[in-house]
Amino acid sequence: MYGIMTGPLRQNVTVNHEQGMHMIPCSRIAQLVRDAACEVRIIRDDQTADARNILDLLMLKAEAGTSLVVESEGDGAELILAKVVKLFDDGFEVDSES
Amino acid sequence: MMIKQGIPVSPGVAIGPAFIMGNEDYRIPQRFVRIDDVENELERLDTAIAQVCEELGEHEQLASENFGKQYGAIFAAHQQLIQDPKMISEIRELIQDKCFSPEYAASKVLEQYAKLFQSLGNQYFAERSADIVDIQHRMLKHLLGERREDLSNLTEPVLILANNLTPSETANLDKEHVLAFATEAGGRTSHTAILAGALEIPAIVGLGEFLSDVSGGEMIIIDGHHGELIIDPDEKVLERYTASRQRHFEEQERLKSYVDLTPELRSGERITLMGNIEFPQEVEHCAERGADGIGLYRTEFLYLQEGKEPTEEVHYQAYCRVIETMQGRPVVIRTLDLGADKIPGALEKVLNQNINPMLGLRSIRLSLQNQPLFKTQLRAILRAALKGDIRIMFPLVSTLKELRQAKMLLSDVMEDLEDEGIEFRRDVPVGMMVEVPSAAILAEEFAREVDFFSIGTNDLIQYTLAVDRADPSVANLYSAGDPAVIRLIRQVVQAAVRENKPVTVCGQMSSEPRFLPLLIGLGIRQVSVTPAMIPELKEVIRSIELPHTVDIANHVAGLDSARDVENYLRGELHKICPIYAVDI
Repeated sequence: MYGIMTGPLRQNVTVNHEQGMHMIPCSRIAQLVRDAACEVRIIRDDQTADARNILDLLMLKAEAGTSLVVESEGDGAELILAKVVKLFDDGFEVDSES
Repeated sequence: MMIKQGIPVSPGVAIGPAFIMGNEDYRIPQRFVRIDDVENELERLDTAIAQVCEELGEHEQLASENFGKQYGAIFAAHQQLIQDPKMISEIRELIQDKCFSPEYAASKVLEQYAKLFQSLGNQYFAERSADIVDIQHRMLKHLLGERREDLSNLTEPVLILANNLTPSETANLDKEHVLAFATEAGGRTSHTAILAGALEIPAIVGLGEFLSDVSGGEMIIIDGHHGELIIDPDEKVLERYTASRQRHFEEQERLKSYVDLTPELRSGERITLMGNIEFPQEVEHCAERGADGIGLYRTEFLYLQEGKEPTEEVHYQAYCRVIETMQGRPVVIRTLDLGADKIPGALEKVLNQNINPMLGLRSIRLSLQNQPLFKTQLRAILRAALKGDIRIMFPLVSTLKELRQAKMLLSDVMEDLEDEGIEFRRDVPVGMMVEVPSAAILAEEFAREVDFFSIGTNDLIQYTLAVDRADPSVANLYSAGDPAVIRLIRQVVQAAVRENKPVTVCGQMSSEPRFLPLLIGLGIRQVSVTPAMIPELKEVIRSIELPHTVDIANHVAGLDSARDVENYLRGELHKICPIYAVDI
């Protein structure tokens, strides 16, 4: 069971950043996943955005309160998923990144 | 044919092909590239993206340090945006598949995104299209930046058209190939306009939008006398201007005979006729026209040129060059007169938010708050003063306290030099610009504490009439003929005479033939002018008698509008020197 990826990992998140998924939150996600070896996608209903792609992310038009799914697949998928979810949980605080 | 009206800032007529400097309004000079150039163009794109990232990184750091992390984050977001893999591949595809130039491809893709955001129907996202446009501009700036160097490789004479030229761009124009320039932005006494006069090529500024109506290579005429830009002239107009250009050349030849004559009135009084300069090389324009000295050496160019603070040695070398060329004649060095409006780099906009730069931290105020910067300049001046008749002038002094502080710093610098055993001249005359109404009103008090005055009419007019001289929508209020301005000048002269201190007028006003008789009538005996105007003004000086100038000054004192004053002075000039009253 462990160590073998059978499919993408998923986790639900809610946008709690007051201004929604605007430029700065999107750029933080893109920055975080840019060098990751795995695929990271963010999904709103039937719309999927590549998390490396800031323009794609912006196109989700996710305002405050929107429910999204973060999906990751591949090497280190678990860790990156946790990091992305943490960004959402922390409300993309400018200082939240270590 | 199409005629656009702007503000003439440097006289003369030039006729030739247009050369558009597109990066200010982000006009794309070339849409397609040759198929064998595609690889190179892709490389150019990569370089530009890397440069933009680096630039944004610097801005992020600067903004974070100066304004807080939330501001830095904006630039960080832009950095992510420009590196967006999807966007980059879209741009690359257009270059590869359609042979679009990187400028055109990047604009196409970014414009699409900007439009998409606007159509999302959400205020916040719609506003983000501005971010995209900003990125687009940055990309173009870097892509075109390389092309901009082409300007120094010009082989054919051209007339430059641009939205705006920065002072250093203006200064670097190659006079051999640049016959004239015209810009959409700018005002009569903007820095660029002053530099145009210094380069002595015809120039028009403040034309408003016109770049979309002209393309590179099109035949144009720049009429620097009347401020007219003529695009694609018809044959009749072309003929008329060719003749007018010829007359201008002939006039220049005629005036050459004045070089060796002394500037004295017909009634015998000697007028000291000096030149204003900015670049050290301009000093030759003054020397060859027989100037009595340099009445205003603007030192800002030293700061603008490098984009960083000049060293003491850079100052020293520049000053020595000027002094040596003037061979013992006086050189008045004005200390740094930069304003917040001229702070280079992209943070300019942030810094200028919510402040009025003309009333803010500039000039002597900036110097007093940045003492190391100020002291560096003062050290160089005091050292260079060993080589000739150097005088120090503080700009924009508005209170006695400022003047005293500046003089105190000068003493400190002298002490430092003495302690370090460095040679310098101690008895350098110290003067100030009178260009703020408060200084003019308290002229008598100020006169007791300085060795000389120099009236800077450009700023004095601007501050007295509360008119931004660079704003075309109010530029008509800006007039040297305004009775309030003239009365202030009269008061300053009277105060200086009472305290037995010399007073010079060094603004644009003294370079205009019609104002010169009035200034002499008000008691001015020294003027410092645009070097190109020296022969012409000498002719005016040699054509008048002192009593006539006094009559002029007395008559003007009774007029109550700038228009009446200007009309009257034009009429008097016609009596004195008919040739200047007719429009050349």
